[in-house]
Amino acid sequence: MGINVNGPYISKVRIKNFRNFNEEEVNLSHKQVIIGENNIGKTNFLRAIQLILDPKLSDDDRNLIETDFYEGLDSPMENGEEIEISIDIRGFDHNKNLLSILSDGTIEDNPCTIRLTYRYYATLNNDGTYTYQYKILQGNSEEIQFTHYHRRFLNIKVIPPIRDVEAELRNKRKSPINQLIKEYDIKQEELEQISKGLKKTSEEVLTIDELKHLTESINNRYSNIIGQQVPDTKLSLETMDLDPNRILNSLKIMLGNNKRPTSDTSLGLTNILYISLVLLSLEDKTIPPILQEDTYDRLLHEGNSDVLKTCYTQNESSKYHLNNDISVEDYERLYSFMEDQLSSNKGLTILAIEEPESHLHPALQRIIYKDVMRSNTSVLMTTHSPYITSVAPLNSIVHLRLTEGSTSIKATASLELDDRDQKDLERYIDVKKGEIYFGKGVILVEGVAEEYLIPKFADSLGYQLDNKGIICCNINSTNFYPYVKYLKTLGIPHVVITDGDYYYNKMVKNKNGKLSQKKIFHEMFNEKHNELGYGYEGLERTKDLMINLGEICNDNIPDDINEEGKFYRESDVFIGMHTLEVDMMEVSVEKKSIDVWTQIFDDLTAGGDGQKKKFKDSLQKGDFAACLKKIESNYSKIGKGRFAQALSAECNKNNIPEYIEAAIKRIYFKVDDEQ
Amino acid sequence: MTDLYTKKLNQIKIDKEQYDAFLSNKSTVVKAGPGSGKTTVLTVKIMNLLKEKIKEPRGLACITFSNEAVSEFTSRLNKMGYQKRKNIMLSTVHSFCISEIIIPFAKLYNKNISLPLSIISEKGELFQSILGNYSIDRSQVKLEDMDNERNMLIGNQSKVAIDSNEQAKKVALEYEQRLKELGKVDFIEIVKVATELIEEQDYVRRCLEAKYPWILIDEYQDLGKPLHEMVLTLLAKTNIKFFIVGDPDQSIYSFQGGNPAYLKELFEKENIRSIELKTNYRSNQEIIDLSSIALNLDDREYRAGTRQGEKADIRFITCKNEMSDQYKYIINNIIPECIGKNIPFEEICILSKTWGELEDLSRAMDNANIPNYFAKQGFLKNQVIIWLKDCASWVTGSSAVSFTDIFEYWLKIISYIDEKDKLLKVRNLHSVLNSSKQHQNQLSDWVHYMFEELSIKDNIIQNEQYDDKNIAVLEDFYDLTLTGELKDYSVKRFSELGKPNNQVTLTTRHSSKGLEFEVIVLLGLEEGNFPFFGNVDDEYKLNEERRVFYVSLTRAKRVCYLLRSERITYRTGTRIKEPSMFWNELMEAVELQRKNK
Repeated sequence: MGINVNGPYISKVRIKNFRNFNEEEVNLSHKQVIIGENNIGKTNFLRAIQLILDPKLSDDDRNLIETDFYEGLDSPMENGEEIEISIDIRGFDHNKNLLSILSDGTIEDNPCTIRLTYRYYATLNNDGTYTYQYKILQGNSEEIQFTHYHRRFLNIKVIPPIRDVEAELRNKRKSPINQLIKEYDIKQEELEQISKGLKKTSEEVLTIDELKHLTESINNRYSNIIGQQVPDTKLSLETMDLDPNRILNSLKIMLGNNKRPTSDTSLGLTNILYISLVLLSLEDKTIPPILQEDTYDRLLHEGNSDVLKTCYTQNESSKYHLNNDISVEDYERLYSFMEDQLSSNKGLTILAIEEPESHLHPALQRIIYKDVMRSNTSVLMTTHSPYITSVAPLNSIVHLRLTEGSTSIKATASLELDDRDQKDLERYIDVKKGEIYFGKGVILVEGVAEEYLIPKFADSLGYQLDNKGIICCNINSTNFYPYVKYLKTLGIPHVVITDGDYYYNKMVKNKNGKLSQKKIFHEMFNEKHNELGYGYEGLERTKDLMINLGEICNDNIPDDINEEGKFYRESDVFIGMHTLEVDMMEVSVEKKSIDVWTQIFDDLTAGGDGQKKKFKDSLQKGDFAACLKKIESNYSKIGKGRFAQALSAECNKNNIPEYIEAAIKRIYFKVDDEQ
Repeated sequence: MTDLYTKKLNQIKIDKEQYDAFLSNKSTVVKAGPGSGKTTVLTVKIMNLLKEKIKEPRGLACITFSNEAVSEFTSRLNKMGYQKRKNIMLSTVHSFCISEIIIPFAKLYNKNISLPLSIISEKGELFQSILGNYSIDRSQVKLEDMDNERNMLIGNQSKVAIDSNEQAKKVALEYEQRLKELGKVDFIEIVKVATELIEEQDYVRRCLEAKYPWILIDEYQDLGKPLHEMVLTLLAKTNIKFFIVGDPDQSIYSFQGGNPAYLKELFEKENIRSIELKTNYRSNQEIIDLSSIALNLDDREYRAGTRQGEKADIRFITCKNEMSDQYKYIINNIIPECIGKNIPFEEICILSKTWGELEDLSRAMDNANIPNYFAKQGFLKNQVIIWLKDCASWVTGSSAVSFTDIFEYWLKIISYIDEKDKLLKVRNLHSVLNSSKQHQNQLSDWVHYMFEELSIKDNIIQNEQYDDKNIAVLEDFYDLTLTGELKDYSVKRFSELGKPNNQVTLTTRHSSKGLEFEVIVLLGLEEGNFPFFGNVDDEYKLNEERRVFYVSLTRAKRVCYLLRSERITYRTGTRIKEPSMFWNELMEAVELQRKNK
């Protein structure tokens, strides 16, 4: 079906005083991936929603206990503290069943939004104690309740992480396949005929002499025991259950060409099958795919029934099948027509899947995720899987993390990035398997050298990054904007380390022989640079970044270049002077620790002793730009990456530029501060 | 046993027009003459829609004229096996507007109406003071003129033209302004805001359509312009199907804004099915033919569905002096005659213009030991008393009301909010009702017991939804049970109020709507009295009087007495009275009919 009528979804959740959550509010969209460490409260987040929407929860489950209160509260039930959870729901108003019972809770009509609020509230007794009760209210009213009746039409289904899908599939009543079959309007007569035919062929088995003999033997033996005392006790054999009422229940799903039963297939495949079936059974079935002839004829007599003729075609078995190419207008008309005429009085469901990755190969994890994303049903999915998070769209992430003792919830649903930035970020997240989501703190760097060196620096400073869950993300460019914006939205502490990229201005002849001013990079400072001025491109980039992020405005920026660098540190951006290597060399010289440089250069270079000597000379002279050129030159065949790798194994405290040390300390401090 | 629903459905199937109306699956207007079984069609249609067509949680709304009618309707449906479910609204226009439109949406759209609604109890005083400010004489602009103007200002879909009165309009605008300043509303204001919300807000219409794929309306001819505008808007802009029942010939509430033209406008509208119920199952053919004389129209084609071959018995009785001679004639001649012909008291009804005359007659009948039922029970218009009456039905074991209904209204009275003690309230009400049975022989004791045990008056005083007039009504009602007409009533008898109990019914022409009797006695057919002399030269008003006469005549199954006196004394002196023009017209027709036979 080309047309998509998306089902209702939760557009906002507010939680107050429930389990891990002190006071949280978050905006959500139609598909959400909920991530966060173990025990951070992913299940509790779903539970909060279940308190309102899950029909499987009992009254007892909804009457909370002391341990359900936010952990930061002292004896909450002695102090009359209350728990409040409210959800806003959108995307329900195309369905008249939902609109007819939920419109009382409307808080906004564009887009149509209803609010449901669970409240676990206290009433003061005369003796100073409190009695607790819960209620679930619609809208902003204190009177209209949301009850099990409403839940029949709007609810949530949770597929838990540890699930016995095989048993669920085998269960005759609950199995999604049987649920799905029930939704078709299958004629009793048709079944009876088939059942008769089956019976006839299967009875042939019973005419085999051996079986006749067996039946007789059993009967003889049996009647010997009970004698003539009990009437009507003749035994017979039958091959299978051929009752037309139950024949559909005997259907089983088989897999592959040699029809393996699902119990013989891998747990992973069975899991996928189960989730697919559940999604299918949750689809909006207002428009039936097949109409019996008599139903069709009856419907023709109703007003506006002309839409039937455009949307259905009769097939050989005289049933009417829904066409595949229906225009949006016709689809809407048909939907409204069917709602009025054939309403199933079934509700719509929001699906929550906890850790779909269990038992699944990484490739299948990605597939199931993509399938889920295509469905019309709103899905909330908790996961630890980097394979899933790495393919999840940027704005589908809900991130739970610990801040100041309570779990904070951040979501990217309302994130806005331009197309270019969004693609950059998505590609990065995919390639790096979503590592950005799993750090308690993030250091954003611009190149591979930083990626190798910074963790090592941190070690030698005594600030192990791994211990704190801090990761160093190399974005391979200096376009920090989407990353910083995203990390901010997710509430993940971060610092940016970037080169200063010193340059000076020079008049240069272009191709046409005309003189024009150009920036010259990769040279050390020289008095002559004062002539036309010099600058740091790192500072200029950072200024743009900060202004784009709305962190600062132009007026606040100090005029003095040295002050400007410090100023950006306030916003967690740490800027060098030249490039990382040059800045390292500078500090190494200053702290008389250049041996590591000459050593590595000598080891790695393909050049001869002459080159090695020149490298050492340049280093001692302070012409670090020349050194760097030698590292990168074709002659030496080293390259920055390889050099950095080697360096990372051998460097020490004295090789660390000050701005990097400061950045490491800052991120360490921020992560500590959060917890 | 066939259940009532099947029984009634089988009845409907016999009448082609009724069955057409029953089956109709699109918006339909049913013009239903007197005795044509419209209420049956309506109730069976509702049951059918709920059983076959409309699946939970969607429902339907059935809107009718008064609280009494709503309660009558509910009990008919209960008897047919109606099960309470979500989104079913049986109500008056006003409660529909309040609970389905104003309360859910006025806040959302910042409507200029103060919530919670506070209904003005001194409307008359406010009107008078505005007249005073503008120095307008009260004979020039009546309260009803002002309200008519206000109704006219609602909506603009209807093409029915109505005369407007500049002065009344001025008063109307000032009145509405002052009402707002006071933070009060009246019924017209409520309907006006509701109509605006429906017209302005797509979402309001969509919600209504979702809840109520069908809206059924009874007595459309009496419901007036605001509802008409609502219906037209919803017809044009939603898929809601309407089933509208009424009879323009029986439109007699113009002083409340009723106008037969609205029903006619719908009847002629495209895309609406129009059906006329033409069979009269009440009166014999002669009564049917003669009554249409009253309308001064000759295109009515009603046929009798019962009493085939029976003749009408129309008597013209001229008395000498005053109304009192007409009363004497009833007591000394008509009643004994009826007794002689074995016509039970319940089949006799006396119709008059005013309750005052009937009160005199009632006294005279009491003195002559003729059991009579004086049908003026203003208190039965009050929702709380209707509820008390439902309680009385339940207490005395009737199946027409369910405890759930009673309980639900009780929650409204006590403006209950909290789920937590709902069970407690249920138990409490249940036990009070049960123990109230000890007082069932004496209504006054029972009422006292109910008032005390449930603190009804306190609850109403504290509830902003009720204006203080309710307390006065309740107190008057209690007085009636102590010393008035309800003295010595049992609870059972109270629960049956509204229906005569082997008594002659005394009622006004306007209140006789929907009733039927073997014998009808019409009082006061003197010139100048009926039609009222001030209305004779105004065609619109005269036609309304004709319809009142028509409604009166069509109550009769067979016998009709018309009474008049030759001399009547007024404050200004005694006058000789000629017979009413209606008397003359009817007499002519009767004579013509006899000649033709």
